[in-house]
Amino acid sequence: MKQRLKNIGLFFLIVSLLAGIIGCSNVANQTANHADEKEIVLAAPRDLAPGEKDAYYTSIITYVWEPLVGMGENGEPIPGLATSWEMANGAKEWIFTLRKGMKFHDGKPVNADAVVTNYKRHWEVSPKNSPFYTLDFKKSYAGLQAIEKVDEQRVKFVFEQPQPTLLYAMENFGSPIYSPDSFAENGDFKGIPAGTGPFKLVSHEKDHYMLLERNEEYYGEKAKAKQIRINVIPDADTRFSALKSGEIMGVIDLGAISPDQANQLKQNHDFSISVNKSSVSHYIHPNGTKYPFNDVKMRQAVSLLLDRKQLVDSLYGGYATPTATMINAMSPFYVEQPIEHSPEKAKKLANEVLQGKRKSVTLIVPSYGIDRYPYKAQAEWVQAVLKEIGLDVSIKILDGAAFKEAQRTGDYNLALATQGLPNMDPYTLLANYMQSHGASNKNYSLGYQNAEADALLKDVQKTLNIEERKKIYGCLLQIAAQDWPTIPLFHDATLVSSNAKLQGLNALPYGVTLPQIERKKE
Amino acid sequence: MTGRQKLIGSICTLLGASLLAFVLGVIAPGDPALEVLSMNGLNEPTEAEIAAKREELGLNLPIWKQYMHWLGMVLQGDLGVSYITQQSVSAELIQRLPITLSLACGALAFAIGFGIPGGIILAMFHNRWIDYAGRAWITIWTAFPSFLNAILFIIAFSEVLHWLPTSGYGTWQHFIMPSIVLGLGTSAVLMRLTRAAVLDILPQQYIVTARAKGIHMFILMLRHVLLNAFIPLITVIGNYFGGILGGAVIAEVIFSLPGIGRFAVEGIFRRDYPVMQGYVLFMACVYVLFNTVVDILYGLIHPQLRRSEVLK
Amino acid sequence: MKPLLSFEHISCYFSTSFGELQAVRDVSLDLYEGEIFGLIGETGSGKSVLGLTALQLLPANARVTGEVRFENKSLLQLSEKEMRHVRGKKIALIPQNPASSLNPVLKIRTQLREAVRHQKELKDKDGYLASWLQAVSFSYPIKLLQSYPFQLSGGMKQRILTIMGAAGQPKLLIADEPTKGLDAPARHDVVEALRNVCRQTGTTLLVITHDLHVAQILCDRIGVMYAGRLVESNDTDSLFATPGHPYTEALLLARPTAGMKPMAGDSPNLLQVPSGCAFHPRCSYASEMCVEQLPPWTEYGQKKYARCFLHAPST
Repeated sequence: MKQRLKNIGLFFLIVSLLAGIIGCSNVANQTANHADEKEIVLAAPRDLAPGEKDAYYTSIITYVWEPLVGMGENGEPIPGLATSWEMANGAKEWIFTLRKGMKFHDGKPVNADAVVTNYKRHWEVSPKNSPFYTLDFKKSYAGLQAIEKVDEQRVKFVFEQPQPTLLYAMENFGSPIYSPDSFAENGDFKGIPAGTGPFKLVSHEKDHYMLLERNEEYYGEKAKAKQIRINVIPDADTRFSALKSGEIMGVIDLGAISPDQANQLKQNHDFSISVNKSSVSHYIHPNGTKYPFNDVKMRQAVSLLLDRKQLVDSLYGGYATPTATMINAMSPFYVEQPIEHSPEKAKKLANEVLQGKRKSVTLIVPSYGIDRYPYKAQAEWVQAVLKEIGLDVSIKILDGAAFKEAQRTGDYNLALATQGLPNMDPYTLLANYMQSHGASNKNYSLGYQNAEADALLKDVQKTLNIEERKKIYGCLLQIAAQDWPTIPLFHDATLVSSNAKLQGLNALPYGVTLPQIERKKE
Repeated sequence: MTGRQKLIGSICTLLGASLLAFVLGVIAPGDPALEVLSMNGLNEPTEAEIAAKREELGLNLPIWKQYMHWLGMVLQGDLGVSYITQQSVSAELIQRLPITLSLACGALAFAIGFGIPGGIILAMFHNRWIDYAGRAWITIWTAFPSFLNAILFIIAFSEVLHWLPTSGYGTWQHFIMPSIVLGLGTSAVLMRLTRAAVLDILPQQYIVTARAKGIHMFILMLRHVLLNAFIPLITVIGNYFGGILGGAVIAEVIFSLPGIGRFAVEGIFRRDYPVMQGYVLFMACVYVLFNTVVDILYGLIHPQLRRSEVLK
Repeated sequence: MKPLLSFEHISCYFSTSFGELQAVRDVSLDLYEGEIFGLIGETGSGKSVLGLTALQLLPANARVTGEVRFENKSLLQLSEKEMRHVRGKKIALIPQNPASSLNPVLKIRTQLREAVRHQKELKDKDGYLASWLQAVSFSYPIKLLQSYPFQLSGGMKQRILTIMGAAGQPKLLIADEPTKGLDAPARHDVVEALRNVCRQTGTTLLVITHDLHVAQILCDRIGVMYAGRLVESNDTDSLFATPGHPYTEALLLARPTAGMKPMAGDSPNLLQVPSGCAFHPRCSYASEMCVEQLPPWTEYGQKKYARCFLHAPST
């Protein structure tokens, strides 16, 4: 009897399994529809709310917290929680005036005391790593002697040395402000933080989703959507499928949609694409510590030979911008360098280095590049092109850590890589790449040595005047475009996409216009 | 083997696995300190910063010291903290376990529910067209890699038919595709094994005896054939379940399920030693546990494998 | 008197990789209610195959022609579903090879209960089975029911198989080699068990065996098979006293108790059976006719039959 019951049980298990698969169609649709009325569902490739142990808890692009100083369309500092500022005492003192009558999500007032508490916490936990941006106030506010409350609405920063470019360091991730109650003893967050943004973080589950709700007490223009859910879908194809099937209404964040996928959607009137600048640029790093790229002529040859426009048009859907300038175009200190494309000149220069012989070289590609960008095709393109000047390229795809190791030990000749803008003022970046002992120079085995560049960089450090600095940066960029510490290829573009039923999901240089998102009226 | 011998054997397995994983992790090219400092892709740390981080993470100590330190913590129940996220490794594993567990159970249920009855049917209709069709089916699904299955399924059932969600978890619908994708390969293997086992058993003398008693084919299959066929199948199922629990990485990545597999792979890519170590130890425990369960099941099914006296 | 079961011109063919093999050649045999009939012959004589045809239990590569009549039904025409109603209930099998005839992973109790599950009026099946077990000399039937086959000896398993066939109270019991491979005490137990069962319940028993002694002490009538054919049929005492077929005579002379005179020649090759009377190469009485023609099935006395020209009406 027992045996028979077991048999029957097994039979039913099988039947119910089959029934479940068939019968779920209605239920799945119903759940989806129900959700549509309540909230707008978007997706991002990574978790935008890493949580209590992260330096920021959530990325700035979720509009939960706001900085003292924001970033404008062209990378320039614009008012955030601080409406105005003044520099005094030869840029050794900065006074920021806060907006009046603002409250955090938990009702606490935004005042000088709150700012001081925030900075104390940020300073103590520095350096604190985060997948978005390293929080290191000891670097970005180097030489800070004191933060003082001047009055309820004003805070004063006092520095040891003049800090003329302080504002650039403070933009966005450089000056996050939360309710003082959000911090625990050790500097981590305790529970969901209270910011001042147009959205409140309601709930989130690690690597799964985060739920945002409109802040009804926001001082500025309130968010258009009542509730936004952002799901985490790391796989690019799955994310694309989810968008196409209507499961999500838009994709946001870095690498939300690839140029290839965007092109597929261009024809489809059910979807819209939004493009904007990006602060990420793409390069080919040459190993300047060994032959043949230790010879500047070889580096020049590569830059002359590669048709950047062809690359951008065929692999990046024309969304990116070809460049020969070392830093990203979004920096206010950007000075465009001319792009020269001349295969004949390239061949001549290469010949002088190779003396008519052919040379085998290795091109290493990071595996994250394969996932996020068309790096595989790009590497093959480089391989095909460089043949013309006598270089036989073999391609090696390495995972992130192995890639970095190869760069450090100089176990490569060429490397495909990206570089973002850590600071709108490019001093750190240029120093890293062009100074003989610069961090990037060493870590990427660029082997770059230029006494003039070293001297100019020393000068910049002393220069307080913004215009003067711009001039010096201009010189440095010019040197880079002749000497090629590294070979820039193009500036990337921020690419996002949304369902045509949605409006207001527009790309920004960093993030999207989240508060503008709403359903289209029928 | 006595119980005590088995216990000692298990502990040795765990120690050996964790030591091997540790050594492999250290040998692999890449620097955890560098990974931590450059994880947002913007900063390039200086030599001094990297050195300081290495010191902080204890990476400058001799290897055996690092391992002993880790072992000491483990014996106190602490699997350490991730270099990258600063979060407790054991907390992460425990948080992700239910998802991988549900996935594993779903895949197992599908593999068993589809594979075993399928194999029985193929054996019963030996060499007729159902058998040939079934064997073709088995070959296909054994050959298809799981990521291909995943992509095909998502296109078919989410994009085109809108029957199932593409990814994530929360409702039982979310588990159907990942479970099936994961279970397809093993259901094919089980089908083949079951068919072979049943074909092996059907000509046995005791099956003739059972038929001679006029027993219905259904009961015959279930009680007489299946119970005997189970023994080779249980080994496969036990191993397989342990394997899935360790990380159905591909399914977890494609279907956005924050399970243990994905966690481990990310840890490996970022040279997050505490995560790698904790994961290997955890997996070794899982395998040991499953071997024990399989042993017990053997005893339950095949009485000859239990200790018992012979009657006079 | 009408026979309980009749084999009518049964032939069995097996398709093998060497070609088609005929294991049973045109055998006709009647079994009467209440009797114990022994079918004797060497290995390969086709006796087991004949027995199994009655229950349609031959493997898939077998082909049967002829008819088996039982209770006004032709058993070979029945569907699998209809056969299920016959098997175990009307006609039961005591299979050969006790070592492998019991399911190793099921308890004795489970396997025995399967044999009596069709007796719906029986409330206490365990008690019923226990009394059967005691009837075949088991001292601790309850403990036995809870044990597994691997815990029992060959003789014990054979007795249990006997019960498995008899407890269902069939009209006909077919015992296939019930004493093969058993030692003398075990053989004695099994024969006793069979005899008791049949005397108590009046069940008809068809014993298939190569053991002449067992056949002699147990059976009422005996049939002799050689190379797939029935060559002699007689009551037991007469057969053993005065065998009607040269093969039977040679079998009897080969017994240790009768002088152990070896039989001439080799066992027949079933793929290439000798023409005419298959025994002719080994028969001391053989004549030219035996090589060319198949001897007819002749009744040479009251219920005495033989397939031999020695008994054919002289021409």
